[in-house]
Amino acid sequence: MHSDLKKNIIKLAAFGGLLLVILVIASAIMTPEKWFDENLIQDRNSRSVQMMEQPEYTIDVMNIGDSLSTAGFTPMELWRQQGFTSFNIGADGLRMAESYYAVVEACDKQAPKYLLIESLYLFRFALGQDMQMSLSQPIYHRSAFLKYHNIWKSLVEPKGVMIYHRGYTVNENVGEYEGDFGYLDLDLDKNNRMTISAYNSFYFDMIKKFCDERGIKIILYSMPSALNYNWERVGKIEEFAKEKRVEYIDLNQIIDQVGIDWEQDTNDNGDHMNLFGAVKVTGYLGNHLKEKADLVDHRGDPAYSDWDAELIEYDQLVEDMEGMSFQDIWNIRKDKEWDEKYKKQDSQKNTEKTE
Amino acid sequence: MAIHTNLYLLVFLPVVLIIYQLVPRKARWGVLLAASYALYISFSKYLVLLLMATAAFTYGIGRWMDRIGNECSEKQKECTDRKQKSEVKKAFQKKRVVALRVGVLVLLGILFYVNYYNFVAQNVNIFLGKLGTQLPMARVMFPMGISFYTLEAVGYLADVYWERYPAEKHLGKLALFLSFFPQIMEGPIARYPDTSDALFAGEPVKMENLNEGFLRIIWGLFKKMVVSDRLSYLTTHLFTNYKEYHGSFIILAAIAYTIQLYLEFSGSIDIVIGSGKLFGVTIPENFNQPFSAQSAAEFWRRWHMSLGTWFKNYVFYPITVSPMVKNWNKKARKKYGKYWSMVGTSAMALFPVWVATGVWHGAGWKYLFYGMYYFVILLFGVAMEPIKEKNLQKLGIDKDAKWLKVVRILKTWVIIFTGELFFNALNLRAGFAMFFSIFGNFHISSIWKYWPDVLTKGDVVAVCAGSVIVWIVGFLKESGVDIRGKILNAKTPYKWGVYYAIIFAILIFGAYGTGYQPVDLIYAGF
Amino acid sequence: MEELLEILQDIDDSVDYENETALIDDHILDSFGIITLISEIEEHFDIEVDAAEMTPENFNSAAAMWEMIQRLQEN
Repeated sequence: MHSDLKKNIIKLAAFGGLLLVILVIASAIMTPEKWFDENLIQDRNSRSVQMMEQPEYTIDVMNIGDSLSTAGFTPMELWRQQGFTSFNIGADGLRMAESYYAVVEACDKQAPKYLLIESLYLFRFALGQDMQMSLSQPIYHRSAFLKYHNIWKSLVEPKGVMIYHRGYTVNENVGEYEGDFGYLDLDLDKNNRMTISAYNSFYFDMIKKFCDERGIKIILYSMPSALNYNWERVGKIEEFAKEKRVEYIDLNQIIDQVGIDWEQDTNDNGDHMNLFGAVKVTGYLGNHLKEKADLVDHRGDPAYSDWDAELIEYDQLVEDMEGMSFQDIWNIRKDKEWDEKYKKQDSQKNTEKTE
Repeated sequence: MAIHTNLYLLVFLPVVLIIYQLVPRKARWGVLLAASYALYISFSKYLVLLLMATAAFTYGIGRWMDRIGNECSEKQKECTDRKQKSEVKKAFQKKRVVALRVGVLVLLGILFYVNYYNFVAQNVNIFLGKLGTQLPMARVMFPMGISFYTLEAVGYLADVYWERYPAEKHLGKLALFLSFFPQIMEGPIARYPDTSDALFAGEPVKMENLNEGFLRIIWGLFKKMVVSDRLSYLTTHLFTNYKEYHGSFIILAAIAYTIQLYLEFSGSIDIVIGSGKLFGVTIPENFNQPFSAQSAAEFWRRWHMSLGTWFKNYVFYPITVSPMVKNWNKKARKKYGKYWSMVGTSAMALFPVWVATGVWHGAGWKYLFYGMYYFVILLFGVAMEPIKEKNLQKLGIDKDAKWLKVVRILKTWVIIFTGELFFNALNLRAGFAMFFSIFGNFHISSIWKYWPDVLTKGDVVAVCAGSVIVWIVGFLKESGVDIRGKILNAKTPYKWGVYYAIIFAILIFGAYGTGYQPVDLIYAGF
Repeated sequence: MEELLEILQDIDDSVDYENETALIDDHILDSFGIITLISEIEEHFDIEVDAAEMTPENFNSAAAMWEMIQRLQEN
C-alpha cells in the first residue's frame, strides 16, 4: 500500500516535472531579444517587446497607464523639445497585475529616473478577472513561451505591426468634444467605479516599492479626458496620492495651461487625446520634468543619434498621415505603396540595432 | 470561478483533491460539500442560501412523503384482503400527492419567478398599459445553476413519489447531490441514484481516476480554447452586426455558431465529467456525437441528453399516461383509428415538453420559437414515419442504405443550423431577418472578399485544424473505437505523449492571453 | 405472452423481441413507440399503466413487460 502511494506520487511528480522542464526550455528559446524578429509579435505585446529591444540604459522616463496614457503622450515630442528619452509601456484596458510586470520587465535593462503613471486604470477592477490575472501574470512573466504563444499566427499570415514610435502611434483623427467644458462637475455613468480598490492599492504599493528600490520617482497624473474624470474621481486620486506619497498632477484642472483645445485635440469626442493633444500634454509634462533639473538633455550626444533619425521618420509620418488615424493605417498598409515605404524603414531599424 | 479558468484548474481542483485525500473517509463527502458551497459563494454570497434552502426543503418534502408511505404500510398490515389494502393505499396516495405537489410547485415557482417573472410581466404590461395599470418589475438576482439544480430536485421528488427509491435520510447527502461543484454551472442534470452514492462513498483518489479525469479535462479545454473561443469572436460580430451581412455570411454565422456551441458546451461538460472522475464520481454523459444523427428526434437523443431525458421522464411519459390523455386516446382510437390517435397523443405530450425546453433556455420569444420549431419538426417526423416507410418499400429502397444515411444526416444538419440561427439571434425579429436574408444576395465568393477582421488567417487555420481533429475523434468513437480506453491503457511514454500533445496544443493554440478577451460560458446563464 | 409479442411486432417488426433485453437503453423502442405500446397493452390486457411504471426496467425486454402486465392484472 505504502509503496503504491510512493510510486504514484513519483509518477505525478515526474509528469509535472517534465512538463515544467519543457516549458522552461521553450521559454528560454523564445526570449524576444535573442531569437526572433520583433515584428512577429502582434497585438498587445508588441509595444512591450519593442521596449525590451531598446539599447540598454538609454530610457530616462517611462509612461504607463491604459489607452489614455498611450494616446496622450508622444516620446518623440519629448525628445524634440527637451532631449529626454522616454517610452510608452502602457496598454489598452491595462489592469493592475499586468502593469506591475510591465514595469518590472521594462526596467530589466533600463534605469529610468521617472515613471509617469496615468491614473484612470487605478479604478479598473473586477474580482474574477483580476484574480485570474494575479495567477496568470506571474506565470507569463516567467515563461516567454506562454506569454508570446500567439506567435505562430504571424507565421501563418505575417501581419504588419502598427507603426510605433517608442510606444506611440500617430493618430491625427479629429473628433470634437461637444459636451460641457466644465465636465469635472458632471456625474459619470453609474457603471463606472468611483473608488480605488484595495487590490489595486496593493499592486500600486508593489510598483512603488520596486521604484523606490531603484530610485525611480513616480509621477501620478490624469490625462485630459472629458469622458473619464470628474471631481469625485480626481478627489479620490488626490487622497490616494497623498497616502502613497507620490506627486500628482491633474491636467484636467489646468486645461488652459496645457493649452488643450477640445475642438481639435481629441480623437474620439473627449475620451482620448489625438496627436495634437498629445503634443501639448507632452510639452507640458516635458517642461515640468525640465524644472526638476535631474534629467540630461541628450541632444547632440552621438550615442542617442538613433533618436534624431527616428524624429525625421516620425515627422515624415505625421505629414503623410494628415487627417488619418492609426485605424486607417491597417487598410492603407494593404495598399502596396505604403507598405513598401514603411516596411523598408522597419527593417532598417533592425539592421541598425544589430550593428 | 468558472470551470474553464486557470483559478479553478490550477488552484481549486488540486487543493480540493489534496484535502479530500488527506481527510478520513467518512469526512470526505463533507469536503466536497464545503468545496461546492465555497465555489458557489465565489459567484454569489447571498444566493448560496437559496441553494441550501432548496436542499433542506427538498429533503423535508421527501421525508414527509416517506412518512405518509410508512403510515400507509402500517395501516395495510391491519387489512385482511387485497381490496382493502388497495383502498388504504389509494387514500394515502392522495396525501402523498399533496406533498409532491407542494414540493414541485414551490421549486418550480421559485425557478419561474427568478427566470420568467419579468418577461411575463413586461408582455402582460403591454395589455395592462391600455387599462392604465402596470405590473411592477422585480429586481431579481440570478442564482447560478438554478435551472439545473431545480430540475434535479423535482426529479428526485417525483422518483420518491413513484417509490423508485426511498427518500434520503441524510440531509448532507442530498445537499451534496444538488450542489456538487462541477455540475452546478452547466449540468448535466443527474438523477439521484446516478451520483449520490459515489459522492457520499468517499472513495480515495485513485491513479486510474486521475488519468481518466485528467484526459477528459484537457480534451474539453482543447475543444473550448482552441476552436470554440475563437469562433465566438466571429459569431458575436456577425450576429450583432447582422444587418450588414447577407446570404452566405448568414449561413456561415449559423454553422459557426453551431460548432462553437457544441464544442464549448461539450468541452465544458468534458471538464465537468473529468472533474467528477477525479473523485471517483461518474457523472452522466451529455453528448453522444450529435451530428451523426439521422433525424431531429435522434439529434435530441444525442444532444444535451440529460435535459432531454429529464423532460422525457418527468414531463413526456407522465403526460402520456395521465388520465386525461389516456381517456382522449381511448376515444380517439375508436373514432379516428390507431394512427391519428397516436399522432394526437404525441402532440399532446410533445407540446408542453417543447414549450418548456424552449423557455428553459431563457425568457424570450426567440427561445419559445426555438421550442416550437422543434415541436413542429418532431411531430411532423412522428406523423410521417409510417408513410415514409411505405414509400421506401414502394420505391424498393433499402432503408439502411449508406447514401440514404448521408442524405438524412445532411437534412438533419440543415434543421440544426437553422434552429441555432434563431437560438443565437439577438431576438426573434433579428432571427427572421437573418433567415430571410440568406436568400438575398447570396454569393459564396463574398466570404473571401469581405472576411471580417475579427478572425485572422491564423485563427481560421486553428479553427479548421481543431475542428478536423474533433471530427476525427468523434467519427472513430461513433464507429466503435474506444479511443479513450486505448490512450488510458497505452504504455506510459505514449500516454504521456498524448497528454503533452493536448496540453501544448492548448498552450500554443489556445485563444487566451493578450489580444483575447476572456470568453464566458454560454450555458452558465441558465 | 403471445399477444404481447404480436403487439410488439406490429409496432416494429424488425426487432427480435424474444432475445432483445435493451429495448429502451439502446433506443430500439423510442418514446413514440412506447405511447402506442401502452395504449395497446392497456386495451388488450385491461390494465392501467401509470407514471410510476415508466422505467427502463419494465420495458427493456418483452419478458420484463410481461411481468409488469401480470403484476398490474393482479391489482
